[in-house]
Amino acid sequence: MWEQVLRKIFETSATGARLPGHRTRPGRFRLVRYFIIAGVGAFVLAAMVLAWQEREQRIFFRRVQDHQREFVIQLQSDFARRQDEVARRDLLSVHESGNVNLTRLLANALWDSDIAPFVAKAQAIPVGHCHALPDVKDVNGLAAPSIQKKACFANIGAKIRALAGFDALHAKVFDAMKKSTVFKIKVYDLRGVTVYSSDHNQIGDDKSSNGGWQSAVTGKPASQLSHRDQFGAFEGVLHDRDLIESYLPVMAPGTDNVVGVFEVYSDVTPFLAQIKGTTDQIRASAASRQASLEEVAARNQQEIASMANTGLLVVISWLALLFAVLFVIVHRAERLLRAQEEERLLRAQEEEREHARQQLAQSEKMASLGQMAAGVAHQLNTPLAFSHSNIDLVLQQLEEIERALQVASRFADIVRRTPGDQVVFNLARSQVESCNVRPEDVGTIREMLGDVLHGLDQMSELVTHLLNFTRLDRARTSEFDINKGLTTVVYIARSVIPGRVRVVEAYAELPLLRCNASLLNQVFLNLISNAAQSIEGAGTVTVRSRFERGRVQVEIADTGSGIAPEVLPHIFDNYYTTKSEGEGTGLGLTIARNIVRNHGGDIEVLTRVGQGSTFTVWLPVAGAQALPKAA
Amino acid sequence: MSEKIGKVLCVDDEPHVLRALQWLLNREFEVHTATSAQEGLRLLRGHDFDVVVSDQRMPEVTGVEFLRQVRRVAPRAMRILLTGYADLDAMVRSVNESEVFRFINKPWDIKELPRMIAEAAQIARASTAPPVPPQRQDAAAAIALGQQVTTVVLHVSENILVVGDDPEVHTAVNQASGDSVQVRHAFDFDDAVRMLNECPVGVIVCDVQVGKLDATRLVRLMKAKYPETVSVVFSDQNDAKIMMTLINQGQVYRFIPKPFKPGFIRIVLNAALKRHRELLDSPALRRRFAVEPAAQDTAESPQCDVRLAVVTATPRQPIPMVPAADVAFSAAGVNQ
Repeated sequence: MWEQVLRKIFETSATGARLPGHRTRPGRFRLVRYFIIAGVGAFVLAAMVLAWQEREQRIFFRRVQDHQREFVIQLQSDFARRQDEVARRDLLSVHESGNVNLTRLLANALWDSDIAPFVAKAQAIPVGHCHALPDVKDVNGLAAPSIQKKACFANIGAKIRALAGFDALHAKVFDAMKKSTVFKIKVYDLRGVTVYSSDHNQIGDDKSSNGGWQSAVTGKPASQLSHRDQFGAFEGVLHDRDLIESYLPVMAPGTDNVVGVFEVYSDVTPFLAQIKGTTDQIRASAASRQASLEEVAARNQQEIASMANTGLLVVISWLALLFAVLFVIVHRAERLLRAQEEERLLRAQEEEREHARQQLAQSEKMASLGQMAAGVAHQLNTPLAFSHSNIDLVLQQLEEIERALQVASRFADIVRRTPGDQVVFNLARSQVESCNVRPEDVGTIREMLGDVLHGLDQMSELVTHLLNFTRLDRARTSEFDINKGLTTVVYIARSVIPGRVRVVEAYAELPLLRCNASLLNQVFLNLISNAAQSIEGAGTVTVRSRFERGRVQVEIADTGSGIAPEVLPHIFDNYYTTKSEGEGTGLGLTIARNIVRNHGGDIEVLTRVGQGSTFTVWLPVAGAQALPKAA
Repeated sequence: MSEKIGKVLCVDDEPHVLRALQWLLNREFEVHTATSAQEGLRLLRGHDFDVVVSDQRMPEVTGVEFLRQVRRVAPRAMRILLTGYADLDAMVRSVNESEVFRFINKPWDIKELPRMIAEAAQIARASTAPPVPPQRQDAAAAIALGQQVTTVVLHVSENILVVGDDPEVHTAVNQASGDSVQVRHAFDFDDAVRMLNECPVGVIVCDVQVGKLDATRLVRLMKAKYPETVSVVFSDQNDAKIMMTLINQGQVYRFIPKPFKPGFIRIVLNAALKRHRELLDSPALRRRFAVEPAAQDTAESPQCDVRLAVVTATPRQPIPMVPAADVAFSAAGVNQ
């Protein structure tokens, strides 16, 4: 099917590009070359597109994987964070409620007896002037107490510390908190001023702007987790601790009325370390899971890549295979088409040659016809010339004879009219003397007319021979006496060949042969004139016929130059000629042999250089059924 | 019977032709016949013939070849070639090799042939023998033998007139003639006639065809007026009739077949100038090359003839006619 399609494509282009000329290659459609260019281009393009697609797919897959991994990581870290947060919040709320209870306990134990009176005393110290001092903006842009304000409040702290009962209070609080997780306790009055602190330096500090304090004043405890690198606790300075700092409202015992605010710092470092440990564990397992995930992802990607590569390889090899198959088909198609084209060209050349050959054969025929016509004209001209001359002379002489006869008839008239034996003539002497005719002149005239008759015979003989030669008045093939044909041909040939060449005829009795006499005459004429032409100077052409072993043989022998050994194998070839241009086309013998072979016979040659050649034409008498129509 | 006015040898291989010729001629001439060239040559050695008539086509030897031998054996005899059909090659050779007086086609005219032979016999009897040509020393043979022919030098001071519209012809003649000879060039018949009238010409070299006209008229005219002028014609495998007219009515000295060889032209010109000198020296010899009067259909006065030629050659231009006295001459002058 492919082949058909290809052939179709090519044939249309071939008919479009049909050009004259022999070996010139037309602007031929180079099928294989164009196929290779187009095919390789298309296949490379397809492979590139495939490879690109494959790459895009891989990138997309990797991206999806990355997204997934990130998501998992996020999830895990989220989980770890939330766990941490929850643990801390729980810790905070547990400690806060612990602190609240502690505060209650402390308040229950110490408030009425010790703290409340002290607070009352401290509250008596005015702080309004210190509050009135303006705040300044710190580096973060937040309102912060100025140095004067701080100094003012420190001054108040000193006053509080100086109050009676401070040391006793401190001792009691210290005792109560000894060996607990509480590191520090602060007590604020309702103005926000630090009335007591286990860290004495902080007494007097203003915390009215503190969120925790503000929340606790309204009855809601507030706690917060913080890390301190250094912390002044009951029992000395501590380092690197996690603390919960709780602002706790102090209710008057038995009421919900807030009468002060406690600030309690309790140590949660071990708890927090525990939480942190858990979180770290979670994080570590997440990390290990992530690593394995990544490993799996990498492996997957590797696998996909190798799969894609394999796929690509398979597709490319399929393409290559397809290309190879198509190439083979196209190659074969082109070879086929080239062969066809070559064949067509060859056929065209052959036709051209055949045409040229026919034309040459025709022109050779015409040339030999012209030669023959010239020879015949000359042969005709000779009897014509002397006949013409003789008749003219006879006519001339007839005038004189007429004159003599006139005189004679006048004599006879006068004799007839005159009776008696004696007649007297009265004639002018000159009249009689003008009779210049002698009886022997009539003899001459007879001879002259005899020659004319002979001339006419010659001419009619020529005409008969011409008719015999062409046999135009006969059927194409007929029973024919070859000897008759030879006689005619030799007669005609004598008019063409030069006088120095003698033609000898030696004919044996022959049976009639069914043949195309006109064509055979042509063959014999050709052979005889060839023979004559091979003779330079004087020589003899012998034409012999005989009947032997059921075939008629005609032998034309010459005493000419013979045929050179290198020429001999070619004498029957088309266009082979030893004559100069314009004298022969090299077709005479080819045509002659074709004619003889069409009669079932052949031509044979015997030659000796310098001594002459003998051409023998043999024709089968019995086997002459299949006869040619024409040359 | 009146006295025979000439001794004629007829050669033909066909005895009937010889018989016919004998019947035709034996009243006026002493006729001898031969059926072969050999026999003819034998007779020539025993007799002094005035005229030799030969058929061209004979066994063994052609008429041209035979007459060439006659020219050597009996140079005084006038030679006439009879031929069955117009063979161009034979014509060229009959002029160049045999220097025939007339070239006659068969069948002959019974009035014309005896008249022609009578004229030839009269000329032969009146003239001395022309110089015998050297043994086979004709130009064609020299060229064929590859001899050195370029060394031939032209010594004669007469001039050459070249007529023709083929530039190659002019160039070839210029190259062949050398410096000692004046060569004049005419490119049509008008020019040629004017130049002929201006000053006498020794040799006229003419193309057989100039424009639409053939050279016959010019050559014929020129030969009739200036019998001592020698004419050479370039033949171009042309019409046999034209060539025959050139022989019989123009007494062409040589034909140069085209394509030509420069060496051949040189030899021909040299010989032509030599012949011109001989003709100048000997009026009797001049008569050997007398021309046949123009045939009836072209028998207008030569003046008319030239006028006709000029008119046909340059139909649009007013004819610059030469004075009538220069051109007009009587036909009687031809044979004197």
